[in-house]
Amino acid sequence: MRQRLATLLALAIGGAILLAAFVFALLQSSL
Amino acid sequence: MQRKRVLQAIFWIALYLILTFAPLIVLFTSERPPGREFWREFSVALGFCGLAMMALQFVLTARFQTLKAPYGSDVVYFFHRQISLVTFTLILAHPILLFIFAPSDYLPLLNLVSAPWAARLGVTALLAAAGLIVFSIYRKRLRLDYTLWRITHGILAILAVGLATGHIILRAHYLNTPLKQALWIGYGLFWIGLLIYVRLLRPWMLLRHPYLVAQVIPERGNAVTLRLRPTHPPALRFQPGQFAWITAWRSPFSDTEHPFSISSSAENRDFLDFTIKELGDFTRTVRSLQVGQKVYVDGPYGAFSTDRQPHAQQFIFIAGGIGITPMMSMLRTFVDRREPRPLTLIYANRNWEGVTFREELEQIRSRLNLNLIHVLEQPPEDWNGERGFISENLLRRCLPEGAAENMVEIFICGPKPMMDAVEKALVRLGIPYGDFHSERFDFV
Repeated sequence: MRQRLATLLALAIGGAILLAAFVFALLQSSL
Repeated sequence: MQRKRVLQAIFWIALYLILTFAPLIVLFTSERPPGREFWREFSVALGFCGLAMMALQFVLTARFQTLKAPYGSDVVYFFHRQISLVTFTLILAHPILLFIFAPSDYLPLLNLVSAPWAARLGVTALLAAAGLIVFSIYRKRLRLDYTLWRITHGILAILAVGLATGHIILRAHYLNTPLKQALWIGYGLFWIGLLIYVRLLRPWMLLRHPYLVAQVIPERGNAVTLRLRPTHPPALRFQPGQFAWITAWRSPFSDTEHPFSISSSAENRDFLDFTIKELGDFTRTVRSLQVGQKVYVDGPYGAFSTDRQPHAQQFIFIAGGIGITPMMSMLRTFVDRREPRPLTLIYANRNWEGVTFREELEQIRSRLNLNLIHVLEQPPEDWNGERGFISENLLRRCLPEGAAENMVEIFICGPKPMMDAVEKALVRLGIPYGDFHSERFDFV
């Protein structure tokens, strides 16, 4: 169970980074 | 106590996220270079975050007990493994996006002979990261010895992070201000400091306080108890159920340690016992250790301990085979402390002859309020006890009343299939997740 939570956390962090990189790229490319 | 642990857990996750996003945050809070196409910027952002995550992988395995305590060491290692797959996907997406959206600019960089140094370092770093993933996931299939794997893993990890840092420094597009340079220099110094601590400082401290083999005691179930006495008494202080890393035959600088649960009582500071089953390359050689030989013990680690659940009204231990060792430490400690709370031990083994600590458990039963339940896969003909495996049905019969009402704490340790089955069964029986604790050490 704790392993499943660890996997979910890893995936959530991956998702958050994709989102942050996406926003960063949107803002930066509009400079 | 529980609330403090939850807050600690949230704190470390928040810090992890801040450190991962630090490159993007710094890029935004200082002067930005002229913008380029969306996909190029997206790819670069993934690369930066991927590098920060690769660096943080070192922290996850650097054995900082304060970091691991809220989760348990095994979960931190498991997270290290899972987040490495996410990290690799992100850093792999970095060149792939560039190849897709600007193939004429970037594909020629794959030719390492003609490519500039920034690209050479980037490609090599990616290959090192790919090697890390492949060797870790397929170690057993590739028949890679654990010690050799650990050394390879360390070298490839340093190469991947070092070369990737070189790649961004040479590329220099986003290192145009002192703040950004300071960030990466800070990261670099942090990694170097961490490496010096893990590879030099800690081994040096271990070297100064070795243990000596006092006894090598054969046990039932193809196991051996290694009794170690400290050269500078008393032995390390630990909580029953914790584990330590052992180095034998080599110096602590050699990076050839192996994790084992301590099986002796936490109240006894004269010696440490480690009971080890002959399963793999190192464990097979334990029997040949000589009395008086030097052994280095790095520990204690782990959150798998009854001492961390002082509120519990009773404890249930579910062990399979050599998974009894941390439970043995807890039970022996309870004997020394004259523990009055009710205890249940469900202990599964293949056959009666191979039940490690069989005789001592009988003695402990008479000294504690212990309900001892043996489960045998291949019982003798006259066996009246439990048969087969630890099933949901068996747990329903053996668990004390009130088990589903936050009154008991359950500890599980054994082979992976047993632990998976027991955890699922406990969930179906309505045991809250926070009430059972497991320790796993079979990730590579």
